[in-house]
Amino acid sequence: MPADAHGTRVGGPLVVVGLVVSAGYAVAAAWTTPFTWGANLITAIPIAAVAIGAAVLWPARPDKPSALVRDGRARPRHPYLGWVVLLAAVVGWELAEYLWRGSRGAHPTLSSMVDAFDAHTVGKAVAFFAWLWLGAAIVRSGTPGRVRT
Amino acid sequence: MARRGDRPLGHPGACADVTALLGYAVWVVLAVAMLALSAASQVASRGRSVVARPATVLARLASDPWLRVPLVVGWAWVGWHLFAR
Repeated sequence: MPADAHGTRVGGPLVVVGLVVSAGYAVAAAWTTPFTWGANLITAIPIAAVAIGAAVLWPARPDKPSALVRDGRARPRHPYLGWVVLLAAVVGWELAEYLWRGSRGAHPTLSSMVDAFDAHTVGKAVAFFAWLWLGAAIVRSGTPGRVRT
Repeated sequence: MARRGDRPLGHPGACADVTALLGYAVWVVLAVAMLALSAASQVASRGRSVVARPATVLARLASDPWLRVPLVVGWAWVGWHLFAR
């Protein structure tokens, strides 16, 4: 399971159960074929779960997590700048490759590279598991009391 | 609806090979930059990281009343795009 903003890990049997269930679910998802009802359903269930989890667990008016609250110590001026620049570069290059005229083989996008990875059942299971893990991390990150110092 | 990524591959010639090599090279550079940022976020300066850790970035996005919406929608779209469509 994901660590919180300070690397604190949630322990206990619940984590093990969550990992096993997620891994099994990802393996099941790896056997589905895109553009089928099976693939739609097995992808829609985690999306619904995260949406419901966010609606139930996240406050309507969130406070800043304790990790983000000023505590009087000197803080870096732009701790997010590097990530923002990287995201802009990734989105920009993705769009450039996507819109460029020519074959996808000559202009690889993130989708085409992941598709190549997904072509194998093991690769698709790993990718799906990572996606599930990220969804759980997103819900946990926005849940009050989950971010500990 | 088919994705643009499903476009048939052309007949790769030397020019296409060079173009593809350039494309992959940029992706590699971006991946290395992401790893470097992650590594830099672990290095503390006077008790504070100069670069925010990935988990902190996620917490920042998830705790913002506006940014958390595109965060969840983006995550859902990626899954739908990659695994269902």
